Amino acid sequence: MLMPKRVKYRKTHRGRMKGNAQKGNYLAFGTYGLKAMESGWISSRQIEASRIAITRHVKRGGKVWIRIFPDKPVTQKPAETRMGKGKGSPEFWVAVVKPGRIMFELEGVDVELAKEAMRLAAHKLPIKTKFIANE
Amino acid sequence: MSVATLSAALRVETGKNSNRRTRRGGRIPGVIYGEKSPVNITVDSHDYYLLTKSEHNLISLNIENKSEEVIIREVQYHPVHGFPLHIDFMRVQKGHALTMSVPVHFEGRAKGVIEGGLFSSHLDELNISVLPKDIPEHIAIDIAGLGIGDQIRVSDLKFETFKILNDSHEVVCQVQRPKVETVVEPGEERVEPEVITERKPKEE
Repeated sequence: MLMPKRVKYRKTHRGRMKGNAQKGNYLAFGTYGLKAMESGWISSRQIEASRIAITRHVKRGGKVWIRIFPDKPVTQKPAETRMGKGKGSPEFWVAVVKPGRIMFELEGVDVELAKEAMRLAAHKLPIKTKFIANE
Repeated sequence: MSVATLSAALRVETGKNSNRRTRRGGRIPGVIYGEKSPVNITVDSHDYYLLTKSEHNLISLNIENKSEEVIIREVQYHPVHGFPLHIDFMRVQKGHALTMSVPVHFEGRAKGVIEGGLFSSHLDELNISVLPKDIPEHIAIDIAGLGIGDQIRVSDLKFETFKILNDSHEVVCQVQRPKVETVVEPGEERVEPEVITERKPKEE
């Protein structure tokens, strides 16, 4: 699964997800893409599940690009722990996604196959998405 | 080469609020520049949509019964909805070469794709230097002869009416051998990344 090799700090604040995607909001590599229509945290497991869904559906043809990277650690306290005693330990990694962000790109397949592959990938994600094509 | 026509109106008010009012009224704010002083305009969004469906690069823009020949230089889109927010038009002077980007169309089905290869285009547009009368609607590239491992570079393309400005070594498109997905063993995963600012225990 995707995660950074080196980080400056182990834990981060949650932050805010205001506004639209200012970068990564256009098709840069492929012909088809999956665009986020909401903001949210996409975990490395969800990214991996979506990637597998796309690659399995398009089988041998097609090339996939992942345009998001989970570089934000999410911490959790253990179950049945009293409040306090500091911040929990990092559990998983997420990518912060804002509306307009292209999360996956695909090339080398026809539009119907790409649409179905992106539909399957979208079911693995916690946000509303939209299929886009550059034709 | 045919010229498309588009009507525009002069825009007096400028700024964020008036432009938002303009967009709500079904028009797109824009500007015309080049040769003379720039002029702020608006164009009808439906007329612009119809123009984008026809592959015209040279446009005759009618503003208050005066027409000017222009090309679309840049369009800003909304990041979520994809609606055009602002259009830059550039005036064209007859007999003077101009630089612009023209879309590339790949024609035919590559031989390598039939054999199981993967076709990938690296350039969707090419930057060209061209006279206004010779502006192409698109650049057609025949890919039928491409086998697995073959590629078309900018230096392979020769046209008489215009000059391509992209780097001659740049790859326009290629047919690659499809990669087989490697299965990652679950045990290989890293548990935690290295922390750069981590404090090391003091030596006593």
